[in-house]
Amino acid sequence: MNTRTVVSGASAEVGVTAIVRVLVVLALTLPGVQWLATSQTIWAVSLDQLPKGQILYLLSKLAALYAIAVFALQISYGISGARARSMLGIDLGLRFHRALGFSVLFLLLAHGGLFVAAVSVRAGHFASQYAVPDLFGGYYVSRIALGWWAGVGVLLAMAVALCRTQLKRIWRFAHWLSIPAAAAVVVHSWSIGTESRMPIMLSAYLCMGALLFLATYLRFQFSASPKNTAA
Amino acid sequence: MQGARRENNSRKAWLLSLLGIVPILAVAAGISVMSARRSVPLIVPAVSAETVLSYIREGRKVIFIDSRESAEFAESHIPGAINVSLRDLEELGPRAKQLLQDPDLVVAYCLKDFRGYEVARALQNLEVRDAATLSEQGINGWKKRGLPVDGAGSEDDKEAARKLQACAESPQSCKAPS
Repeated sequence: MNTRTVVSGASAEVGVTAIVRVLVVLALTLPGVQWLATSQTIWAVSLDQLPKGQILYLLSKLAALYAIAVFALQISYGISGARARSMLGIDLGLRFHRALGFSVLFLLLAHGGLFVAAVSVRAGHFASQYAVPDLFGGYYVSRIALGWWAGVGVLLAMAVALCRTQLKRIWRFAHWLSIPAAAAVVVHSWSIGTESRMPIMLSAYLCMGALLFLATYLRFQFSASPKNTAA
Repeated sequence: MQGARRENNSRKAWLLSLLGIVPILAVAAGISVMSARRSVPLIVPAVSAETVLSYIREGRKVIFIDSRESAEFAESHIPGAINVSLRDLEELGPRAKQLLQDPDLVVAYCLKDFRGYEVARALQNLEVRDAATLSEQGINGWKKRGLPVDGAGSEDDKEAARKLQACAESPQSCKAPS
């Protein structure tokens, strides 16, 4: 290996690191911008002038948009593997992976909780129709059920990771449940999310997709062994 | 020792994550109480089904805007409604006002009128006057009120429209069974 190869390899890593950082910043900023853009009609009025539960509904959507973004970061972080991350100087360790996981769980719970609260406030009684998932209850109800199951998938994926000493090898396979859970989140948001197909959010999705692609590429490129992965 | 500490930390993180919902729900409860003490009129008026029926009876131009997804619209919708989501409205922009052609009342609705409110508010911003939501809270309230809907599994367009006109002429005949 000559000096030129080392230098070009190092500059390529610096380039990839910069791209990753830009994509992360965009993936975390654009959902907020989209939310502000669609909710801007409420800022000109006082809370009193909004229908019952509307603000809760808006907050629920904010939690949802960030749940998608943080989930994408979490999966990208896990897939990329510790070896690739340390080579690029962006490894923040298992604690960070765990913190992101809890953030995803928190945001999903906040989204669901605020949505049920919004519907309950509007209806004047507890919205029990959303408390139990119904995959065959028509378009809207079935897509809500999909979001419900995505939450269950995340909970299970986290639970097996936390009990990995007891579960030995099985936990790693079960932890991959986060992938179908993420797919369910995407289908849920794409099919009934108001903002999901708006231009700003589409750009955010593009950034998240690029991050996932890059993470998968890095995983194979650095062929990280299972022991070196955070996920 | 380290394993026990790690387990303890995980437990704390679980607790924090779940307890994080408590302040959110507290804020939610606070907002609910505040909105219950409403002292000013809603920025988007909510009209009752009775008002809508009286407009139809008087031959005034009422446009229903179904702000849900097209698949939901196909399942069922208020007779004569057009399917325009907030997304579509953003694309249409000021052209939306021209397309509506001076209606007397524009009723934007969805299931519970969360999306309906957003569309009605966006229409107001596009200078469409008389944009409103349903005080019965969306198509669910409309159905509960015993009023006709159109779409897959229900009557065809013309039959549903005829039924709606009949309900407008004689609202008592369309009361939901109590």
